[in-house]
Amino acid sequence: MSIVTVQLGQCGNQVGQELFDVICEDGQKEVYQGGSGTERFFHHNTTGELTARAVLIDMEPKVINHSMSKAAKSGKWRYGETSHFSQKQGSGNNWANGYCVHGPRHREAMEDVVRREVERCDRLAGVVTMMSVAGGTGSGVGTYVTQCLREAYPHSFILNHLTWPYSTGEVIVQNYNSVLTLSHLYGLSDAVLVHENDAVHAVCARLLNIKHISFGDVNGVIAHQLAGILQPALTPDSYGVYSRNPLGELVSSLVCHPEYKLLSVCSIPQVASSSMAYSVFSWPGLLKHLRQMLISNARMEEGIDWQVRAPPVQCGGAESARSFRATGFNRSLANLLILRGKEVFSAEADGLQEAALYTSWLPSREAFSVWKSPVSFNKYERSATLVSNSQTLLEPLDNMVRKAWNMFASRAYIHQYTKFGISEEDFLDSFTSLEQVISSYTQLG
Amino acid sequence: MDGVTRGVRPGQRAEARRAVGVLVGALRAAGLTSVPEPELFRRAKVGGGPGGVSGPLVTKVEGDPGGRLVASGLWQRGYHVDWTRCVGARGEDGGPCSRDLLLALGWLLATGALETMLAHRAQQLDASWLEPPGVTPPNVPGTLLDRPSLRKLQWLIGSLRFQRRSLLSMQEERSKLMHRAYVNWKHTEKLFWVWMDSVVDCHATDKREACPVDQDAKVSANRIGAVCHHGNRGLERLDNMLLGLPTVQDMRREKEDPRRRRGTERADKLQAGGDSRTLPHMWPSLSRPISPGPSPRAYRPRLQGEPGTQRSRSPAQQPGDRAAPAGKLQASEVSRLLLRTEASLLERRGRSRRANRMHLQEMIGRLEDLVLIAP
Repeated sequence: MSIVTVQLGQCGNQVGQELFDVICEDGQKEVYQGGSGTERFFHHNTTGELTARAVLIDMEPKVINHSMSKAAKSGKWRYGETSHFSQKQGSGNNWANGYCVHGPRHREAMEDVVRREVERCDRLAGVVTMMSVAGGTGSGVGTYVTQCLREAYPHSFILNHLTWPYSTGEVIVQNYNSVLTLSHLYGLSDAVLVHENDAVHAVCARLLNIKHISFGDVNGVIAHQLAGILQPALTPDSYGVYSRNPLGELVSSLVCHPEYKLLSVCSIPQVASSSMAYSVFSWPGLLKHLRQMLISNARMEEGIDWQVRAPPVQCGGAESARSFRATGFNRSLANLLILRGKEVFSAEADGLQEAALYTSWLPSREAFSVWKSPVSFNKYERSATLVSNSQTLLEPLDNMVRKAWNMFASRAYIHQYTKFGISEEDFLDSFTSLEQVISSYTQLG
Repeated sequence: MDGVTRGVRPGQRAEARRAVGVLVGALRAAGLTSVPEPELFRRAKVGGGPGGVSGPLVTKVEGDPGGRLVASGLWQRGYHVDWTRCVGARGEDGGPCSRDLLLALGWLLATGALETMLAHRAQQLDASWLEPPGVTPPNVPGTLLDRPSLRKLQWLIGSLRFQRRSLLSMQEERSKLMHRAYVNWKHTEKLFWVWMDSVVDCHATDKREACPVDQDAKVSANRIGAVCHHGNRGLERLDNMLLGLPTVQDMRREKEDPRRRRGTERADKLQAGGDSRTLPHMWPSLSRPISPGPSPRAYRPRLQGEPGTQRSRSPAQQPGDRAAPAGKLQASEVSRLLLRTEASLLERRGRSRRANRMHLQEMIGRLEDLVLIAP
């Protein structure tokens, strides 16, 4: 039961490499019974080396070469020698160039690389694509590849991991690229798991005390949180053994409704290595913080607003929308809590199962799931990761769409897209579908 | 030397172990939930004697679904399931029965039982790919389906869709594993049959210990035509009765020279190799095709007799005390068995005639170019 990871563009290839590093490091303990830890993400090549079940795609060779050599230098794992596809010329930060030109032109070659990796799996648990929404290759080619994957593997689970750009701006047309990516993926993917650079940057600065934050630091935090989700765990459906269907169970517990596919992640604890010796964590303390982080929409345990309370059960839709804007209460559709470490079976997570946290139409017993593993994760004796389908991403999404719309209204840079075949009608369709997503999350209640 | 290597060249030991392991994998992939471990197969080869290890293999055959392979496989090919039960009972005291089961399994494999099972399994897995039958949604009045109910319904439909996908991927994995197990088996099959031949050799060597009835046959002139029925009393009675029936030829010959005729008949029966139902006796080599039908030479003289003529025999001519058990059999059962045997023999005769005719034609064809010179 294995997961194939497709890394796309600069961001996807860097985050993917960090993720495999964390998983390999954690999996080296070989404490996950049945070896599900390494089998899920790695296979052994002909010379017996641990090889990632990953495909690297980029329109420039530089980042792929860097990621491959970094992996090989780790001495613990490597990428497959033929598991990559790259070209000489990038997509120029243009979604339309990636989606309409590079994607179709190299479809066959890219599908071949993915198919080889899929055929190596006894059972494909699903595909995780990793990419940024800001640039051209990750977003444009990534969307095109996801479309091909959906056609080629209609019964497989596809999870898109997206990195959202800094709101202050990395690329001038990042909001166009983001809108086009999200609107297309919403119809193709089973779940869209989002990491915002802004939120992760804050974790690096305030929790990990990093002075000069690099993309490497940001990617490290993302990789830690992702591995916290994807490493083996005992699930309600796995009957006492480590689950063999991680993506299936993830989407089944969080994204059964086609209008709600956006997932956010937060982890606790996250502390600098230098502070680890002075930190003591207990399950009740961690879970109390995590619950308040969830309902107050805080992205880390520092600066939590303890004044936010869950409103009484049974709010109407419109009323709930007002209450979200006014009180800062973050309502959830569904949550998945993953606990790892010592005495995990004694941890009580009732606080996260309160009906007041969820919508009126989905009972909390269906909306809340817990996975557990007695194996300590990464460097933490106890750690909790919360994957949430809630209103958390509503505000950044709203901002993104609003900024894109303002640019579109003044017709800025539209010709860059129309020249590759994306019409104004396509833009309008994308805006409409994302407005629908915003409306659905706003009305959550 | 252990069970794997007896009769196998040292260089083939590892291959034999691997071949048995691959076979076990293929049987499991074919959907048998409880297949004995490879080690039990190997130990079953040495089978008999005190401290024999036939028990576990027999237990598997008797008590677990995996045992259906041998029992039902034999039954489907017209052999008694009682035979394996009998072996089970005998195996507990350390008899050589595990080897008999192993030989039976080998015979089943040679007749294509594994392929049949795998084909059936593949068909089952394929069926799951069919689209689910169309379900008519219940007719709910629009007024009852408010917004929250509709959303809940959409969630539940999504949940079912994901469940279906998980099940499909599980089926796909099983298909893939089955395919791989079969390919592995095809690659190592030859080695397995080399090992199986060594099992047959062991069986031939230990035959006397394995079947006490045979020993009797050696020492007792009266039971010279008898065969091992592995404790199946009904079958033994029938066979004894058939042995006791005088044939038309017998009666004619006995008129001429009773003593000489009886000796010839016994020689015939020995040559025929006994009843087809005594499976181990029919295995000179697994590489030779084996017919599940009864041996015509064993039955022909008996069929020509009349049950009533038994009474005409003098007590001196009766082999032992067989008249009594034979008399206890139901006449209808005997006639049914005889009719079935007759039909089978007629069919074989037809086949044999056709084959002979073809052979003759071939020979004549070859002779056309030859010039025959009279001596």
